[in-house]
Amino acid sequence: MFRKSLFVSLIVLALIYTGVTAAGAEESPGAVLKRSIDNAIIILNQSVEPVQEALDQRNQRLFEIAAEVFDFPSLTMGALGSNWRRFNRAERNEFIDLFSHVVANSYFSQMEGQDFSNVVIDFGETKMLQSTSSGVKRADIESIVTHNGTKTPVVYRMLEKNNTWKVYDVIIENVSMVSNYREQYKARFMDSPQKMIAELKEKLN
Amino acid sequence: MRIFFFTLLILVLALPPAWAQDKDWDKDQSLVVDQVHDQGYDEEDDQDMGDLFEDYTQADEEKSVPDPILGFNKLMYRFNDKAYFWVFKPVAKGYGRVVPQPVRVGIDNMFYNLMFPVRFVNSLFQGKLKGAGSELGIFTVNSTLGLLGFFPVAQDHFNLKNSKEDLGQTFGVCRIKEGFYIVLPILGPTTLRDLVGDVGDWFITPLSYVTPYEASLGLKAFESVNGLSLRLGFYESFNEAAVDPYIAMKNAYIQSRRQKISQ
Repeated sequence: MFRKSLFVSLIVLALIYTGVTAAGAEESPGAVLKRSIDNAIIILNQSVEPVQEALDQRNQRLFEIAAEVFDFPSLTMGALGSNWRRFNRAERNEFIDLFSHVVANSYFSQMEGQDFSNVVIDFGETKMLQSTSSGVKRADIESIVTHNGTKTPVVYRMLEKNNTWKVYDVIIENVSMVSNYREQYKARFMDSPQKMIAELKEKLN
Repeated sequence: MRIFFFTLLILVLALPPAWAQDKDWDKDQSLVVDQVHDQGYDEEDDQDMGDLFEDYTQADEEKSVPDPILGFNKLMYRFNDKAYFWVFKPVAKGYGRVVPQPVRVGIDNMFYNLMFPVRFVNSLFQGKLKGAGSELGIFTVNSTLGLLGFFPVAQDHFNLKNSKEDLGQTFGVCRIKEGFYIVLPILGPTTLRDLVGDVGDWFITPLSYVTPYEASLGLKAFESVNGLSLRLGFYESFNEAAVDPYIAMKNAYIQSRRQKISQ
């Protein structure tokens, strides 16, 4: 009996220990974000031949970094608002893929021909937001981006998913990207999901 | 016994939304045609999502600003779009090639410094004494040490923060609603409330008192071109990202104003 309880307590201790180390290894939302942005800036600062192929390749690498830190499925759900319910699973997956590329491309195109060596990003406070009713932890990471002498406040809204932090909204100069798309898609409640998908495809071509 | 009833009560209260969700989910399931599962999206995401955007749904329900003069606004929107690509962008690009960037940033700062009375007076109107004091400090330091506002010494070295208030925001703080959305030629998006605010602010804007009138207008145009030369490409990528650029612009304007008022 004594042996058995000792055995059980050992197992419990071992479980607690692994639990503690797992929690300890978890990075803060700010650290996760900063790492991704640093990686993206390294790529942006490398010189690229002004050939379409080289630019596409660079954009692909940037997209991969973005896909690691952005929770594109959540971001897309938020952007579609109530329209999300009208999409079936296959349509959702297709829409997420297209939408994330449309969002990324519009920012990449702005980066072309820009000098990124003088971009300064100052990270401010990390504000923990109230968890959602189902217990998803959320945080706002504030930052100021200085480029060409102009300062732009950017807030990254993050959520904790599978023990890691991911961005699901970006608030630039007080304008939430997800809210902005939400209003645009609100006006599309009469369009079929297929029509909305086709529209994104056209934008990408 | 009491605990039992309490638990039952909680269950009853909690169940209806859960049922409603399940029903919707079944509906979605019946629509599923393809089971392809390669984009990292799964059903659990949907359950998270239900409440992830709760605050956004609340914001959606807040009365959005009406657009009763949509026809006129859309016409002005298209006019401004053409004016940007045909007039302002080429001028700002050419200007940017001639005048070095640090000088343009400095000029931008000088114009910003000149708008001090608007920020100061409206900070006072809103009872933001600390903000007003900070504005006064920034204006004094930048106008002297910063060579007429060319260098933002106060913000960079004295860690003073601007209090970017205007009369439209003051009205907002007094709970005056936006009225309706207006797109002005050249000046762009505004609302009835903010337009009235701008007219009020005009009286305490130093540039308004430059004579003759043409010189005042010329200086304002110069301010816009100089500012634009530092932000070229923003408008293009904003449009490129948008599904409906007209709504995107309206929403961005309203969001930004509402956020500023709440700060």
